[in-house]
Amino acid sequence: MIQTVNLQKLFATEEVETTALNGINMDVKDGEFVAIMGPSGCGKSTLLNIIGLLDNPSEGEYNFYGTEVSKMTERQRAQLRKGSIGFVFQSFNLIDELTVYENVELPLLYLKTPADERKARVEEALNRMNIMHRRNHFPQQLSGGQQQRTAIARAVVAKPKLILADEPTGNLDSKNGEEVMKLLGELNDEGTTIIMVTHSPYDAGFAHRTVNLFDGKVVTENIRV
Amino acid sequence: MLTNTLKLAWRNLKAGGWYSALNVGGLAVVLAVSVLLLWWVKDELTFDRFHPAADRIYRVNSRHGTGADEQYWRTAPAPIGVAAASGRVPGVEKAIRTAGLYDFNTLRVGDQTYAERNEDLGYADENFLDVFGGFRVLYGSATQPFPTPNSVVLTEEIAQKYFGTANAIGKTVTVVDSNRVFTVGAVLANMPDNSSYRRKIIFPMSLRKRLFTGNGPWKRMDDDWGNFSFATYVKVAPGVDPARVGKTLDDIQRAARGQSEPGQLSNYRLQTLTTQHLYEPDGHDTGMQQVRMMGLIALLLLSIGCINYVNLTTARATRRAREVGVRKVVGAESGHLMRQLLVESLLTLLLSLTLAVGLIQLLIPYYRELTGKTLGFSILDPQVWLFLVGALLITLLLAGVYPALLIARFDPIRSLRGRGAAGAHAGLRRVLVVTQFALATALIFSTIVIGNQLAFLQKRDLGFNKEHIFTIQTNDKTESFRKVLANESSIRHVATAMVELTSGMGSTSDTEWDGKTPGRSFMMNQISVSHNFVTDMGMKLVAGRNFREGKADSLAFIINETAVRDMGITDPVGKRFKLHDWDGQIIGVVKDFVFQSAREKVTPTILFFRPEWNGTLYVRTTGQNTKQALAAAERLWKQKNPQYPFEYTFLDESYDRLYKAEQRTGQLFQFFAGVAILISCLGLFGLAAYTAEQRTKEIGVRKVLGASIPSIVGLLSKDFLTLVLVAIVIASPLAWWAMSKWLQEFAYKVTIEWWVFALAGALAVGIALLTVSFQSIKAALTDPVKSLRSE
Ligand SMILES: Nc1ncnc2c1ncn2[C@@H]1O[C@H](COP(=O)(O)OP(=O)(O)OP(=O)(O)O)[C@@H](O)[C@H]1O
Ligand SMILES: [Mg+2]
Repeated sequence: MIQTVNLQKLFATEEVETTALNGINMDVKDGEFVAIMGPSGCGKSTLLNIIGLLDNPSEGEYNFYGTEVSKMTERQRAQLRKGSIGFVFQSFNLIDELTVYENVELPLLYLKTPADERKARVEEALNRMNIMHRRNHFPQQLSGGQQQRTAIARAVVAKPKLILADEPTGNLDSKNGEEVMKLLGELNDEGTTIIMVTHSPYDAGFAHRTVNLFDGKVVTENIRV
Repeated sequence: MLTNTLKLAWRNLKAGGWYSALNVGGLAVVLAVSVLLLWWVKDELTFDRFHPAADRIYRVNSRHGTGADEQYWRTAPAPIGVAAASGRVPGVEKAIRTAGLYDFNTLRVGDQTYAERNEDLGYADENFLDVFGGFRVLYGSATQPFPTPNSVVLTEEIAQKYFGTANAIGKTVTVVDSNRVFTVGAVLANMPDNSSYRRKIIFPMSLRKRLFTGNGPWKRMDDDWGNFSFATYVKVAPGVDPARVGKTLDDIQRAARGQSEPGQLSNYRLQTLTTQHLYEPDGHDTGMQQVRMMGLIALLLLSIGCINYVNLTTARATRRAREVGVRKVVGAESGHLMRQLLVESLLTLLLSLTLAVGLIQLLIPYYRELTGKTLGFSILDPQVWLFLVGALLITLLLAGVYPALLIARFDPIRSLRGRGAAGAHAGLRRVLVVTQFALATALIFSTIVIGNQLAFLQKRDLGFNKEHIFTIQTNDKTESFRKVLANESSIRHVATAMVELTSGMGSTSDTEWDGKTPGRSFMMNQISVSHNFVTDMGMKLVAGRNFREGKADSLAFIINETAVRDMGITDPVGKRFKLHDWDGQIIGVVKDFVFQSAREKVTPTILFFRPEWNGTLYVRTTGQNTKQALAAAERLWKQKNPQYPFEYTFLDESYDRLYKAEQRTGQLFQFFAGVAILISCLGLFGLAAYTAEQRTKEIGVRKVLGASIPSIVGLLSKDFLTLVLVAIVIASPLAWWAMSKWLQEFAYKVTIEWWVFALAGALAVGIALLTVSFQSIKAALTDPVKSLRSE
């Protein structure tokens, strides 16, 4: 259960003040698949970062699975985030110095999962994303699609309740994009809540509903029929 | 988790490529050099502390004269030692005397003769191990090292050399001069490097008493108040005030010599054994200054190394910002990252350490050569490891924690956008670069000044010509030997004197002249010379005449210019002058000639004419055929003294030895300045490369828009040059101050002129420019299309 009330985010630099979010009220139920759309600069990534506990709102309330988190410190947020949220980014954000296997293993290491269980779960995730055969490769040795599949494997390996994806297909061709969307769809079918930012109406079609943002506000919501 | 952390750390290190190499290499050099330096410092600071109860052992120094004439000596007359040992001085538990041995130097074992250096021979009181208890007795008894008056004590080295075994008890050594036979009474372990007392063959003081032939009114050595050649040590009871002991000795002297003029009496002051190596008897901290300087340089080098490490690591941190961001997003906490980064630092440091140990091994021979220490440093010594690990931990603390904290605190969102927080810390990095370069500039500056001073000393007018002269020590028949030698065609002329000039001539206050303030204790050096000494040595008479061969001038004196000045007389030639019992007159004044180290002023000196006292021959060759001259001298020597080996010393080498301390300082400085500059350059190189890399895109865009290569090089170099200029401005006055202090120690010194500042600055700028422009040019030459695509 995710609920935001009148969420505001202000970026103040020396010269200008930007209101990135201006009173967002949003509910996301367990098992939902929500797409967020809107023109560039309307605050989609900012919203996703706050939902993902990477950042604090300037004002407003944010209830994350029953916990009020809007005033938490970075350390508390990190603790809460761990194991409960998986992230997928447009630019993959794999660590170049680590192999595919090690990248996927990383969240479990930070969760202190025992070694044998860790191995089983990493292999399961790799098999599932169909990149087991590339497990000892480094990210630069992979295609974009493979990199994104690795990133998704990393996002799901700790079996989080929530997956946040910021333009996951933005850097992929349509065939690879389609594949990534199908994987996200499957994860959602198994019960994982997914919130995804996208510019593509086609991708948004995979979601249950679409939230449209404009200038930091929710303007419309479309529910898939 | 740990193996994982380690594996990652290793991979990160490898991924760092030459950043890591610079980091590891730079630190290794700094660690190796500073550990050696600190080792040297430790060695100097622990001098003589190996003796039990070292803090209760004192040397009895004597003070002579007052006001401008005041002098402190490291020695006392023999009766002072007798008094101290007699139980008449409250608080003194034990007292011993040691003395140099100049009565002979050639020993025979079996049919082999050995000409030993006089500095290796010595006399010591029979119970000297009661005070010098730190010398380990390998064979024989510590309470009775000289069981008989004809015993001798050897160190292990000599025992091995003479007898091929350390256990030489009962074996015999013959003094060639007198044919007296001595039996080895004890064998000591070789004296440690950090012992001030360093004799290898020790004869009992009773022998010196037997050889004593009287001095004026004094008929026994133990009554002779006029000869200050005894280093006297007392061990006092705990809590005893050394000043009181000195006072009691003063009183004993007054009681014994009550009839003397007050000016003839000296005062006795106790100096702790543990300070005698680094402090002069007058409290001057000559040696300590050097120790402080070296300690400071070690710390400077370590800080330069740490700064380098922090700079390179934080610069690279920005490159790693994205990685850190990703880790945070997938669940890493700051603590995890801290640990990871610290392990990386530790790994880097451990690698450096390994490299440093290898480097130390390579440097040890040079270390020994530079420091003149023979033993001492061994890589297996646990203390060395304590040093290394200590230095490592300090470096980790100073250089590892800050970057780790910095990186671990990166904001994940910003990091993922490729903007680490490191940009905000560019200010700190600038400060560090300035500090580092200021230190390097100061070292360059100091090196130039020291080089100047050394060159100045080298060119200093010695007041005579030391070229093509070798000296030979004889025991008797010097005058006849002089004459035969002078007939050789390869030899230009031969003069004689009492001693070799640099070996230190004796001094006396037993002089009188018309107009001398009564009771004034005025110290003069005294040396007997042959009639031709002044002319043949190339000294210049500024007034009067030379000695004439024969008996006529045995009461004639030549004094140097300083003596004239300090005595306060005008028109000295013809004036009455009395040295000891010889009432005569001054016949000439010689231009000052140098026979002491550069730190000392030329002292008042008196030349007198007693050729029969002279034991040193000064042989000047024609300069073309030194070999032939030496061969001739050896042949004639063998005819005259078949039982003595032929030994000679070149006078210019002896003079070089006088300046050895300074030369050593100079070499050390050049070396350390070199290391400091190298390390600073590594840091600058890394930073420049990093900056160029960061600005690849900007450079690409500028080039596409038409910027020329020189303008881009200028753009990239400008920032660094500003930093270096700031460093120069900070460093110059500091270095100037430090060097002025150093120069103060010299009686003869250069002045620091403006061009030294200019040269040091130019060098610093030049070196920085060279380092930075390499990177800048590389960046400027990169194909813009490539650099744009790489984003
Ligand atoms: N760290 C920041 N400092 C200042 N302003 C910021 C910061 N991050 C975002 N903004 C501003 O907030 C607004 C929203 O940014 P956000 O990244 O959320 O847009 P977006 O909807 O994700 O756009 P895009 O579709 O291009 O990714 C923009 O106007 C942006 O300039
Ligand atoms: Mg965005």
